[in-house]
Amino acid sequence: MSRIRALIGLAVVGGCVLFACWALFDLVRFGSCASGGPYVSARECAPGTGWKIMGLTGSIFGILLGVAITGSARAGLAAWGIGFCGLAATFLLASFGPAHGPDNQPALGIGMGVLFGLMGLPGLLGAMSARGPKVAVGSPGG
Amino acid sequence: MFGRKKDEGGIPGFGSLSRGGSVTPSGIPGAASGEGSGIPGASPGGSQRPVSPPPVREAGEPRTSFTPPSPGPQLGHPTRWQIGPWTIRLFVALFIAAFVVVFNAEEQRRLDDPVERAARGEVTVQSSESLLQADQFETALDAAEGAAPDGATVESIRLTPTRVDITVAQRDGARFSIGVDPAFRVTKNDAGAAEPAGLPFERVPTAVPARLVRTIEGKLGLKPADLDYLLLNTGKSSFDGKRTDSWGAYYSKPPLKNDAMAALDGTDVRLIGTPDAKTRATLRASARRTLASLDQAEQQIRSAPMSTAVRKQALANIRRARAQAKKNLEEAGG
Repeated sequence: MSRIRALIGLAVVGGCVLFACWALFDLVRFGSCASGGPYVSARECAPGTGWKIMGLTGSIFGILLGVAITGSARAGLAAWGIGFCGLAATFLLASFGPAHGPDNQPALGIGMGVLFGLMGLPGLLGAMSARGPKVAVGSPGG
Repeated sequence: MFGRKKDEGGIPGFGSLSRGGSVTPSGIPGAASGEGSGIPGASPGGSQRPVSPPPVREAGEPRTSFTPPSPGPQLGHPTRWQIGPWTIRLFVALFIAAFVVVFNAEEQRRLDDPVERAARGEVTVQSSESLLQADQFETALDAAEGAAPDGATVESIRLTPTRVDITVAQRDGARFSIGVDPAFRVTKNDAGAAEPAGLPFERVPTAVPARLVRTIEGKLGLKPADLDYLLLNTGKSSFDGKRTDSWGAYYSKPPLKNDAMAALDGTDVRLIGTPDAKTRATLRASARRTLASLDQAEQQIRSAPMSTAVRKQALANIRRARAQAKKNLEEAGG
């Protein structure tokens, strides 16, 4: 049962991080926009932009829920690491991917990519190391 | 030893202190599965490590000796499976694979998506995907008409190569803003109320935008690449009730004299602020009448008995008036 719980928790974490990366990628790639009201927006938002913003926020809670389901500090550390490393890769891809636009801002991609990478990589390596974290979350022995 | 009976359970996770003084590691987490326990020799399948018999006490040896298990016991449920490093490594590998699959597909989709191509500046005024082109504009209008309420008329259309924004009004005055993107996806928003005086969708001339841009380039020298947007304004004059439908074309360059306009059918192209064809014709006729009157006045002045000084002054006035009339005629296209 604990094995199934852990796998479900990891799946929730992975799914939420992937969704957060996808939503952020779309928002960063599209850039600033506006929509609605009686005036014509200079740059109309793509359909579903509001849902992506809501989903991006919601996925953070989803990641926390996934970690809670696993009840493992190692999974928490992995979620931290994979989350920030995933976002770092997302920023870099949005700025330098093959379909990036002409108003691409490389400074943003590099700055956020490096910052998030530095934040996430130690956690990811720590979670993958044999020693693992020393603090348990939710239940003993995590 | 601590006031408990022999068979009473001990502290969870610490096993029980045997008579001989050794500790049985009954509650060491991971002893069942092996992964994550960190205990060498932990046997799989949930069985505990065989317990050695109590050592035989030699003569002179202290009665009890405490041999701590190595490594030290941890708190935890004895049968609980834990996430170990290999689980996390597998999880990370799967995540990376999913990330690559998702974002590779996403980038491929974006390379071909008309909206993304437009955002990358690959759709220009004259490219075949431009919404200014007749067939594209017609498709966009059809999409907008499908989203508009029945019987709604077009109040205005703002048209760029990558977007069409249409304001429509219902018969009851309710107004909506309908946007169409290069993939012909439609968005619709409330936009207050207005007196319905627009054009039916079928009367919007879809061939005009592309032609208008070319005409403006030829006649006024404004380049298609500098086009900001076209604007179709429809309505009736509050003065005489006649229709005032017209196209406006707004350019980003040059800084001045960069806005043009035309009639609904794309004719009568001119800079905004200059009179339309009908007004120009009226001005031309007026200027010609003035010139004819001045010619007649000059003849009368020359034949009339008057002093030389007065005649000279009158003829000078006639010359000035004629110059002004000629200038007006020239400005009116005469």
